Amino acid sequence: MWTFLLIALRNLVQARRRTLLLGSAIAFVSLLLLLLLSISKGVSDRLIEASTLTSTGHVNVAGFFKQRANSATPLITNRNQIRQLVTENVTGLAAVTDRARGWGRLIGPAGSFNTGLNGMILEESGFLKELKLAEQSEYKKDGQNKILGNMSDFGKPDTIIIFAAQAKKLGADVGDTLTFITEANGGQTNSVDLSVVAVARDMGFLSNFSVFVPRRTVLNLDRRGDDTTGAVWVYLKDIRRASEVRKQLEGVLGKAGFQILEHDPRPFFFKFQKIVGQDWRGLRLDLTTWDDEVSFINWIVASLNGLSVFLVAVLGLIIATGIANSMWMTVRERTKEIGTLRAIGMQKNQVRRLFMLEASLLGLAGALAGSLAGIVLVTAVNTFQIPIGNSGLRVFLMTDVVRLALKPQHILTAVIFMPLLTAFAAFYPSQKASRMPPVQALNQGK
Amino acid sequence: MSVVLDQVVKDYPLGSSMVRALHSISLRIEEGEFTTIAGPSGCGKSTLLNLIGCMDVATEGHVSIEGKETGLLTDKEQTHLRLNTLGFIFQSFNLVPVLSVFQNVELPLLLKGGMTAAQRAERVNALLDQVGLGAKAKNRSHELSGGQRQRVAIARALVTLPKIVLADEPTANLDSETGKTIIELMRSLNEKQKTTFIFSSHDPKVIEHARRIVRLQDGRVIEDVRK
Repeated sequence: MWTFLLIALRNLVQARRRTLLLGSAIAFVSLLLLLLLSISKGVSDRLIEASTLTSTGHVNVAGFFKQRANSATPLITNRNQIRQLVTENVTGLAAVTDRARGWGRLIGPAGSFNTGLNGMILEESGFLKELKLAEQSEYKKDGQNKILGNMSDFGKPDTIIIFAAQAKKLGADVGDTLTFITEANGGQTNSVDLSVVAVARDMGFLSNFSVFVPRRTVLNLDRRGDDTTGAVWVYLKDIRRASEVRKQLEGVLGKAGFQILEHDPRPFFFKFQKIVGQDWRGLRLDLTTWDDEVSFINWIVASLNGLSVFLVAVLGLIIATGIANSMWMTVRERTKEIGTLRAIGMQKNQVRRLFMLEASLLGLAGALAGSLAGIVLVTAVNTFQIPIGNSGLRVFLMTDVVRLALKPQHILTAVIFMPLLTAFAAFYPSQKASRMPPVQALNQGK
Repeated sequence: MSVVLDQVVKDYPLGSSMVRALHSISLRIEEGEFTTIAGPSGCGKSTLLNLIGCMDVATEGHVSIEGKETGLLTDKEQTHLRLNTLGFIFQSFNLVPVLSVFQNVELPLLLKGGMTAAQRAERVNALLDQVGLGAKAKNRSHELSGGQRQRVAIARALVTLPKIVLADEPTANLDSETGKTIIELMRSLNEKQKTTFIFSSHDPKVIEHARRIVRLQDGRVIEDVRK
């Protein structure tokens, strides 16, 4: 094997220019593959981060309350009992909190939109520590490059935190008063005036669907009791256990006498119509995981992955053609050598292996060089926090600076994929080389 | 270990017609013989060696080595026979250019397997000393003269201890003095190791060193003499 490796390596060195050209092309595709994977992973990480901060726990115990047949409120009762059951039964728990939920129209000086209302429990909300505030210039024309407002004011009665894009739409600034109007169960309209205490930086799509108010504001708005909430959010030490814990909690809560809805992997606001149309009364719990709640924006990660696969496939095809062509040239140049090797006793499969090894080594070297360049590039991009100028792209990528997440498994993917691709491309020329009768190879090579 | 050719015919396609390179050759070469296939260019010497060396298949007739008819062997079995029983020396030396002298000679042993690195090194170094290239083991083939390259090729052909060594015009690319040295080396190895040597040549100075001369002309044996 060592001699095969040596022959392959030395032949690559011998054909220096060709090796360098092909190796660079492979390195470039590897780099591109890594960049695409790290962008995709960056967006995916950001999606998890943003969704689990703003819209969902790792596992959610939510539900619907139906007072009459054609109504549904995203509300659960027995909040304290549910929280206690979760705390007692779930292992590997990182935190438990709950959010009161409301839905209605937020009206500002220059516009309005429909949005969800998140009733926060301040002391349980790590989210507020993570939230970055926006400079005034980010949401107001001719605004100052200065953060206005103070997060510590949040929690005072009837205060609100909105995102920069929402502030722009509403024409609102810190200190302004917004009105939130909601339709209560009885069909009457309830409203509350809310004072803007801070404007947060956008977190992509998810910041379009949420505003934050103290829990008490939501309860007061709908005149709900203290033992009600919108959803109990369960955070786990290992997010990968979310699905398993959801199933476990279905059992625990069912045993405790709660009615559980059949699992529907969509966010709660997509289920309204379905629940409204169902013929039952009272409370039914709806357990979801974080990815159920963000399933409606999974297309972002899916399309990024699709784009990555497409680009890498196209470039891979080009590389494979280049490798195959190069191997044809190599086989032609080394016909005499093939004849000699066959004459001295090298079997056909060994000749094939020799040429494929050569191609794989080229693929490996290119992938390693590309990976090295990828590590340097990703580190540089993340260090310099390059801002994304285009607002649409900011929403799409869920971040305002370029964030790339390069994982060891990405490098492993490139380092395994590229040699396999090059070996695959070299298979046919290698096969041809190995099948050449020795006497013909020796005569052709003369 | 004998080589037997029985009524061997070899035809080659040339455009739409066939050209007969060998006409009904029958020959028996016994173990330990030092035989030359002599004759002018194009008389069928290389074709004959290729048939004995399992590198080509006869159109008609039978070629047997060790009693095995080579035309009936699979490609794998023929390759196995070339590796274990036959050794090849080529006119243009045919060394693997990217390997050192040592590695070129070691290559057949690696293909054969079953030896430790130390055992291989011992065998290769002994052979290189025998052909007078012990000091050049680490050199690459392009750093050697023609005669030295052919000596490496001889060492490579002998390293698996083959029963038969086939050499196709081994001195054609060498000056007469070096050619004589190479033939003397082959002859001394033949005498010491009792290895059968079958080599082709058109050079009378080389041919005279052989103990048996099989002379070909237009694909036919016209003379077969033992000295």
